[in-house]
Amino acid sequence: MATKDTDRSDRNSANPLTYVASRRSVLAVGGAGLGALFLAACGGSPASSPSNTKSAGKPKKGGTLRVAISDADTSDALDPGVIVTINAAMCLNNIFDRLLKIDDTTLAATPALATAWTANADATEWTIKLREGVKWHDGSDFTSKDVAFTFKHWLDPKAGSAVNLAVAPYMDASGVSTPDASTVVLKLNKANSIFLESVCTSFGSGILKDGTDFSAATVAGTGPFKLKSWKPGQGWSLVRNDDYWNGAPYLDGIDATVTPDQGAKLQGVLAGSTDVTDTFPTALWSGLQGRSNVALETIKAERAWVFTFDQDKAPFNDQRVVEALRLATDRETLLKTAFQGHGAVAADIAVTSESPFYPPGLKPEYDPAKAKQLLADAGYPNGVDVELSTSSGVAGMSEVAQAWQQIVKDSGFNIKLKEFPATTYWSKGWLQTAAFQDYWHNAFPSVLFDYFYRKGAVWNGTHHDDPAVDKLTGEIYATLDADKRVALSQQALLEARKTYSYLIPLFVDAGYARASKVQGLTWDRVSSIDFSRAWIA
Amino acid sequence: MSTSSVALEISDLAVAYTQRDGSLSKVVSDVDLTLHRGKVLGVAGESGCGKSTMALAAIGYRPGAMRILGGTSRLSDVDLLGLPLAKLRQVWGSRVVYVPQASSLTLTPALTIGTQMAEPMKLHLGLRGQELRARQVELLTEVGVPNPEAALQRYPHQFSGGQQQRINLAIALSCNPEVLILDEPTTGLDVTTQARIMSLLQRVVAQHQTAAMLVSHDLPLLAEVCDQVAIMYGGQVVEAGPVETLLSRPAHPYTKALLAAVPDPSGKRALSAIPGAPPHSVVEDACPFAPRCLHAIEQCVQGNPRLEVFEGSQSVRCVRAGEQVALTIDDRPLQLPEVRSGSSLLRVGDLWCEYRSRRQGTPVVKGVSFDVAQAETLAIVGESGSGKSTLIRAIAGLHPLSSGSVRFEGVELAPDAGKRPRSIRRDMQIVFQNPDMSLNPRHDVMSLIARPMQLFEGELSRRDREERVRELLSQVNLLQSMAHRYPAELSGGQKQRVAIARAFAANPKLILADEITSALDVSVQAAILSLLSSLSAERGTSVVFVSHDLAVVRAVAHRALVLQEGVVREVGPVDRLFESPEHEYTRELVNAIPTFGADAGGFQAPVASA
Amino acid sequence: MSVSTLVSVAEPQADEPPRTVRGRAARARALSRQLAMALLTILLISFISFFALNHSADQLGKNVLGRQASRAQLDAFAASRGLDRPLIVQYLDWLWHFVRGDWGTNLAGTQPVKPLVLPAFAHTSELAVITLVWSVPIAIAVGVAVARRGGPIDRGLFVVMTVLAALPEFVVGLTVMIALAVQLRWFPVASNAIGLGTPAEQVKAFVLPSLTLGVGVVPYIWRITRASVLESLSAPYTRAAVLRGLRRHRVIWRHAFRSAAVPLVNAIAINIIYLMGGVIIVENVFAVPGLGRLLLAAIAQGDSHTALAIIVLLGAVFVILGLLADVVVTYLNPRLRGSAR
Repeated sequence: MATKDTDRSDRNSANPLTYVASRRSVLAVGGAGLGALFLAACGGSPASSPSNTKSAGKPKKGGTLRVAISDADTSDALDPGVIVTINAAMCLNNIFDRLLKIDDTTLAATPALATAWTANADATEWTIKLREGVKWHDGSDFTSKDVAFTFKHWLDPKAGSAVNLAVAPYMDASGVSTPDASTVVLKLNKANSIFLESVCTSFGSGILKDGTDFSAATVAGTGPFKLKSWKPGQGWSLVRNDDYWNGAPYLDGIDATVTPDQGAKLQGVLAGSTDVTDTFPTALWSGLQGRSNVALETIKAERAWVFTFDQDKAPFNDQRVVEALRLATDRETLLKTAFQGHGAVAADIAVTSESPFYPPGLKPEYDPAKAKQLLADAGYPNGVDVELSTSSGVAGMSEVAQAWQQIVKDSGFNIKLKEFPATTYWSKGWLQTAAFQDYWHNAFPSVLFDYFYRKGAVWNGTHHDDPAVDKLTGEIYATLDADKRVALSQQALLEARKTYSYLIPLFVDAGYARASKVQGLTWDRVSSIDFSRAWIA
Repeated sequence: MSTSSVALEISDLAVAYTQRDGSLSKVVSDVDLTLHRGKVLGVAGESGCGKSTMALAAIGYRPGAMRILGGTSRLSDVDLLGLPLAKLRQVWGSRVVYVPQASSLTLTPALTIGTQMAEPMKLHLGLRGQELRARQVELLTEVGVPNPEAALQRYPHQFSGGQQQRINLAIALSCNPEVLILDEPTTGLDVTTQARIMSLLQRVVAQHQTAAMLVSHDLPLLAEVCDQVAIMYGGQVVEAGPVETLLSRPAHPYTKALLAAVPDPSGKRALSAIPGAPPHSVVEDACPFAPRCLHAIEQCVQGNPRLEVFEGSQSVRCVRAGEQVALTIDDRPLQLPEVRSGSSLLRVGDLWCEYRSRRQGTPVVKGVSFDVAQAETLAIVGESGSGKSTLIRAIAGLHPLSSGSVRFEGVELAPDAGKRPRSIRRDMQIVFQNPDMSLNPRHDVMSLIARPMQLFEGELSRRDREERVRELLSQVNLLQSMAHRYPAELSGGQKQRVAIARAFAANPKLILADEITSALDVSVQAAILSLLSSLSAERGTSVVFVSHDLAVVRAVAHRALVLQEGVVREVGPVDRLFESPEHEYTRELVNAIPTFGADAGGFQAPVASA
Repeated sequence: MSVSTLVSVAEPQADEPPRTVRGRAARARALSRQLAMALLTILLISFISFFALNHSADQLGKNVLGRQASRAQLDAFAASRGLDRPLIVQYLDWLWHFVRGDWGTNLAGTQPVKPLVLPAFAHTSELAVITLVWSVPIAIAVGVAVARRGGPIDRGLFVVMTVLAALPEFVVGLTVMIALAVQLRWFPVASNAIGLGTPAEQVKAFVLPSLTLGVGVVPYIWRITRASVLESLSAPYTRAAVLRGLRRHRVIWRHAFRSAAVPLVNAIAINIIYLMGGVIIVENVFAVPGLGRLLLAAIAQGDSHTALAIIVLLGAVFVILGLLADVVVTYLNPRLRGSAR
């Protein structure tokens, strides 16, 4: 792999963090479910020709894009550090820029507000060169003072920033210094060879203007669009920033409205009153297919569904039981049942097969007979009861749980579902029970280890510690050689898979709708939709 | 009578109702009546005889299911039956007025009196403003409503029943009608109020020379007010003529039987009921009364007798009309069972009850004391507001006492019926006025009557209970087939019989009867009263009988107690009370009783109080 | 409860007027008592709601900051929002400020509650009023018109109305949306223009949600109208009015309907309450920026300040409506003025 500054595909870091699923998921799920059935029956315009794939054409300037978003909240604020919904993400990430842009699948980094970043020999100090000539929306210059302010904001627990988790373990506010207007130096407490990348894959890593007060009146970013209006929970509007450092966008502006009901959102895009939407549940995708004026954009492997088992508690204290669970899970069927096949099976590691870190040749196994045998060997000849914490309020969770429950029954696993409402799952079910569900995103393996596998990791629900994995993780963070990091990561992933009791059966795709005439959209997990290069045909 | 004095001439009127299955049921047939100016024609009959239907049909009122089969009703030159609705509306309220039955819902509750009075005058006479106002006050004064100006702003519920009737009359008279039709104008009104309304009517008729038709089941009332009377039975006029002759020398057996069913305030004649029930619709091919007639012969069922003139001005529909002498009515003298003196069953001592509204209490029963002996029937007589109902309820344990006591067989009773011992509750039973409200519509007759036995004689087997019920049914003259009917399928009289049967079911020692016949027809009333008498005599049951109708009291009770505004005015044997009342109030009441004239009933001409 | 009299038939009526009705003073006393009761009720509701909405401080922190929030962040959040105090203290503090007009900020601390809730309240009220304005008269007109004639039309309507009433709101909403917004393109799919767009846009935005809500209101009002009017029409005073020669129109509206109006007023009051509080589904389907949506979101998040503000507001509305209904009813039914006898 090349080691040019601009191609940092080896820079790996990811914060497997995402927005909390829509609080209105209940309605969305219910509404979507019934709405979907209903809509399937009633339908909209008849399908005539197959959907129009990206037509070749030259980008046109002009037009205002109309966006409909379901995942929104009235607590959405103009603080890019506290992004919890797609609504906030979409708005704020088109107003603000990050230091780097990270590709979702390959985890390669592209310079944005940072043009170069170098570490010292033991990866404990980073020097970042900032792009020059960038202006804030209010006309003032972008300088290192802004970056310093932003880092301090992230580190302040009172600010409640999502980036905190990525920065706090490695540095304090005193570690930020600004030698000149376009240079920032970060002194870390621990080695981290992928520090900047891991920061920039975090939600809420947009750079703030020094001294900002987060009010709608004064909000200023460096991004492709400027804020025109902001009504929390209701909608927002952006207008083009003609002075954008990466070239002014084609669109004149974007008008977003919050449409909580998934069915209504679908109707809007079918009727042509909406151009772009945020994600739809897979159950509604059929409503978008086969239409000439609308296209469904798929985001591959958007998240991995995970089952976590506490290895301090029986029966999971015997790794054979966990192995048996893995063998008992027919992942293809699970994917088909829960998500109509939209996704990919996984082999118990939360890295997609397209990722450079994927251990080559690793494939999942399905063998219910062997599973039963293993169970018997472990001392459960007649099967075993498992109580799994789940929540129907988190989109997709119940679908997976219920399908899985049926599948593993054949091998002797009697799964009982313990239901939590969405509002309490994350405080009472997640990490608090012996078996629970979770979802992760494609990430730098070392970050995964940091959060889920390492000794004392915050979210290690298995309560297991494998010193081999810890050692490998430390080595990864200390190694500045990208290829070496890949090899170490693959090794660590395989080891972790062997000794930890995570069951990761599949990745599921996400999808959003776009009117056929809209081109140039890109989706990434952090920004949701990036409109900077979008145009209307 | 010259034809120019004829206001309304009804000829050959026949009316039918369309049934749900589409067939027609004839309810009025072959009716000829004439209304003369300045004269009152009474139309008498019991419920179901078609008199109200006839009256409404005669003025052209035809609700959906009613069909006029034939005949005419001429108002001067116009046949009302042939007029279209639009023209009829011009006639109604102005030339022909209808005064509805005296219920509390004949005036629209949401509108003021003034508004309702004004409507016909505005519409028919075009009166407005000051003129209208003046006329309203004039009318109200004429009918005797106090404070007419203030009254106009008030709502119907703020007036008593009697005043509401007066207002109705005022509205009726507002456009100087030619014909006035009154349908049961005094139902539910006090005796004294009744008398006043009737004298008002007479005055109005005389003054304005209006022709009036008075439809009522109350024969004594008609006797007082009418010039002519027509008796209807089974949808037909069976007898008609001047009031004096008709009521003193009735020719038709039904008329005679009806008169005999009217309680005799002089106490000489016993009540006699008419067995059987009237027909539901017109009987075309025989005499409608034949099945119940004591004097029916072969000829009676061979064809419908015609209405024929008889002895001058009377007309009768009976083939045996000429045989006056043979057709006597049941003339038994009244006989009441013996009183077991000395043994006091119920003793009420200095009872005070009050009516509580919010924080205030108004005494309704003030210091009432009396005794009831075994097997005695004591009547409690009073007008509305006298507290008689409250008194009965207090005795029954349904109304709280403020002070005083009720002793039953020497034992003082708890004021709350629920707290009384079972034996007491079994021994004291109550029959209410309105059987619709006291019979559970979801239970059939069998279970209704068996209920007290279930409660108080639990040791009886189901078979035994059923047998007793059947026994009771025959005692109250109900067919055995009624046992499985529901109250909705029974007539008023039948329901009341069931209530009485129920009261007697567990062999109580005392029965409290609260106005049990006020809502019933005369002949049905007679039947019920004789039933009560015979049952109580047979079983030795005491009865406390509450009523406002003195004539009824005479027929059933041994002793009577006169109540005025919660205070006992007089107590004593019924005969003495009627013949030589001591208290002035008693005298007033006795005098107000309407009576008939001449021989056959022994009634006297009424002294109408003003 | 029917329109007919509550006066017992037992006692034959005397000729004197009944006892005098209570005076104004007593009515005023009764009114103030009702108001006091109402305030107490609202207070109780707020109390119960507050405790029902209770989530742990950690969960609330995670709701706002995301599930990745660190311990330090959660603690800072709890401290800044006062969530570390005992619940009863939090409640009293909220109450103290609320009654002074300070409704606080939402859970995230990003948005003051009053400017969030009051516009939503206005929008929901507008929607409710607009719906009532067209649905009630139609329901009444149809109810009166057909009650008179009966027969196959009446029976047919019965079926139609029952079906309409039985349809869940989102089915009606989506049907209406598909038909009128997607197929015919006459109206917008989402009603976010309410409060935001031009007057013309706003008017159009109200149509579909109002239509959907009205479909729930009409059968109910129609049914009550029909029943009351039928009862009224068969009452003796209706016949008496007819026999005074009054024209049909006058008899129906002035006499029969006026007397039948009491249960109708109560039904309308109940419907208003339904419209104000029960529009959650319609607001969500059509993206109406109203209270229903806000309340649902607030409850899901555990945002007690916003939720309570809405609950108290709705409670006050219900109470006022109830009192108004009583006043109107008393005006319509003179029998109820000044007390029971």
